[in-house]
Amino acid sequence: MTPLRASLLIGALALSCGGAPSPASSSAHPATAEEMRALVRPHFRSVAASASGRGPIRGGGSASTLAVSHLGTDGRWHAGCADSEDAAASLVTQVRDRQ
Amino acid sequence: MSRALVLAPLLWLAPLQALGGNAEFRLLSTSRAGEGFNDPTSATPVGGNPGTTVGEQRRIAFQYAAALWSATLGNQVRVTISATLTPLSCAGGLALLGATSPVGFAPGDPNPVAVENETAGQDRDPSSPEIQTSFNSTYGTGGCGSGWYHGLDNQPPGDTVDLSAVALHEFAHGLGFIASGTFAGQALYDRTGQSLAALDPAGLFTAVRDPLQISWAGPHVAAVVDEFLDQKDGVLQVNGTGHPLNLATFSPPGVSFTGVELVRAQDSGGSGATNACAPIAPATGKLVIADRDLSPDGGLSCFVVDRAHNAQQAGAVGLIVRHSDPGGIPISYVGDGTGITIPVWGISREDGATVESAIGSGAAVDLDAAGRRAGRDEAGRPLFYTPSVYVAASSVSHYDTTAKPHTLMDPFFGPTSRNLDLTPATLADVGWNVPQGVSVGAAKLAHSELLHGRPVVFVVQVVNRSASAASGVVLDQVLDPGLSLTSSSGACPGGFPCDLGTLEPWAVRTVIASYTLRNALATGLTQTFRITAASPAPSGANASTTVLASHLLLSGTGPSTGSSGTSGTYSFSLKNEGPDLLTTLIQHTITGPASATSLGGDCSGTDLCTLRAIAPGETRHWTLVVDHTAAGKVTLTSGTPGAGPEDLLVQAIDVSAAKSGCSVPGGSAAPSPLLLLSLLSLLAARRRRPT
Repeated sequence: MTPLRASLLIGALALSCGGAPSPASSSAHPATAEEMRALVRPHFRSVAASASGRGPIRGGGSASTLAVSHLGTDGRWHAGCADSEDAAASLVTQVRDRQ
Repeated sequence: MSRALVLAPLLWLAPLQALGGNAEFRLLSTSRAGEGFNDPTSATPVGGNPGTTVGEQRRIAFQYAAALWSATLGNQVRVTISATLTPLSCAGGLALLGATSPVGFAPGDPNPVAVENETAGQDRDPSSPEIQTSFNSTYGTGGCGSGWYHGLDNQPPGDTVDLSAVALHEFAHGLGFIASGTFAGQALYDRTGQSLAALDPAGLFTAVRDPLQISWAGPHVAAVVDEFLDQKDGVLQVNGTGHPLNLATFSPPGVSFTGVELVRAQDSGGSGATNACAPIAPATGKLVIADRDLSPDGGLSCFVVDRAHNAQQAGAVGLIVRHSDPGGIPISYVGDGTGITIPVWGISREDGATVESAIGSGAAVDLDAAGRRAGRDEAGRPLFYTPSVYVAASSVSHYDTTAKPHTLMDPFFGPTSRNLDLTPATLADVGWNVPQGVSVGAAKLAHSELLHGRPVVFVVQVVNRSASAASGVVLDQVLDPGLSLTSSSGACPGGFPCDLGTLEPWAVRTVIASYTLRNALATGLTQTFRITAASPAPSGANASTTVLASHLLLSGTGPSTGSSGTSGTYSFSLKNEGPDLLTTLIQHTITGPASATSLGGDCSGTDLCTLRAIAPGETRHWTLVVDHTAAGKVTLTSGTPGAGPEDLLVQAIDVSAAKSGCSVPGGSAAPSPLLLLSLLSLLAARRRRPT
């Protein structure tokens, strides 16, 4: 048995949220769509591997959703929700697209 | 498995159903002591959230969202949300705010399990939550993002993210606003009139990438869509063809033109540029269309507000900005519109190209500022968010960004009405039996059930789910004898009964009621909130809600001495004294020269375990083996995370140095007297104390 192992539920949550947290950066810069993809990719790959993570619409998004925040080119933080890597990337591009 | 265990979940269903009224939305915290919902950092009450610690404010914000969904959906079967706040990824200009999933929702299931339970009339797996969600506890610290707003007033300052609003949005996904089979059956591809479920794979691939072409056809949404998506947007008529426009957020609404000349923005310096990033040729009394081009490095040539200033300076009466990227959606541009008095619209790259080709050097056009219903198709159905830029999996789980006003299920979080706009009706189409009048919901965070010295806080929501006002609405409680009301805020600052007066259509009233435990507490809690109204009377199914909290009895046995190199075995039991099915966490903490190596029995893990679905009267047992690594004082503390000293089981262990030749690895020291701790015993002791 692994020392300090958390409950199965806690373990599942940690897995579904991209594993261990990264330290916060003090040098925030406007995010790119590719950086957003890299951030959310572990989550969506993880849930895609589990039956509970897939939505039944073929070719559709995941049944799991991620809330994300990013620094836009306007210097402000924007927050949104995505059910796929593409949808998360579009949150970044849409902020740029609206200026 | 024994027969008794199989029967246990069935036995507790009967009393719950007998209570009547709306069932609760239960929040099951998975935070450890000192973290997440148990963060003891001091906080100043904000925006109607009376919490005085970060953890308490987080709990109330989550309870706010849970209780609002309970009142709004009128659920008759409990919905349990496993929730945690923990550090999540954050780097550079990016942060994960949270993740949410329906639990046990498998491909092929028509709906998430919460909907299935409701339509079945019972929780088919009481041992499992229906939704699990995890939020980022470090957002807003150490350069990670703009921070959470814990207020309940829907007014987050600056760029802060409204925790309650995000929880409302994410819970909706877990409740059925997601790509389920039922969802696909009611989402139409407007170009063919087929539901997404009826499309073949190639057709679906095309449909989910076709902007403004997937709409919701459910009857409940159709009945109320005019109530919530009632704003109009512009249509540009060129040679008899209409092209949708989207008004900029900084522009005045309602400006239309008939027979106005539309010209392209021509750079006054003769460069040939048509982007309006520099002064343009005079356009007095004309409408101007400019190209939002990008610089060679992919960046913006200038902001839309810069283009607007240049058009206005040239005498234009309005500006249309053709987008640079494909996507097919007319963008509502944003920016600091100070000094801009002319209206500015966005047009898609594709439509803009058609218009520019049609007008040549200039042509008379009509622009109807209210020519279409924002966020809806020609049939009036609300549209889903389906930008054409997707290359892999696509989303049909949000309403479109062109909807006005901004909707709860817009992919971008923003200020939305607490009536939750179209979302309840969408969930009604999925299978929820949403109330048609006033309804009440309440939520308590079941992070620790009942703890000494900690307030028992309920968030109560009263909603009017009707297009007609409800008058003479009164909120009252059926007070559990074990509780004493200490404060009440929000819509009922004077406590109960509370006259809420008239609730306008779709109104929401929030009450935060805080209680202390009376000394006479001998069992768990059954707290009911109920509403009456002069007209119309609430449905009996939605006129009350009862929140239950169980009484726990945690006890343990084990040695109080040991020697270095040996181990001691500690046995624990947790009894649920009712009245409710119980799922709880137990955390073991060891200080001193020792470590835990294993747990056996009903609790797996060494420091934190989840004990699920303990029926009233049932007891669970487990053991913990503590290895003594050196001589010294060891303390083993056990209890629910967030509990204070009175509710923790504490065992001091004196560990002596190992005697040469006498250490027995894995052996056990002599048994010690029984350790016992319970709320009952503590309360009895407290009563005997002089005060």
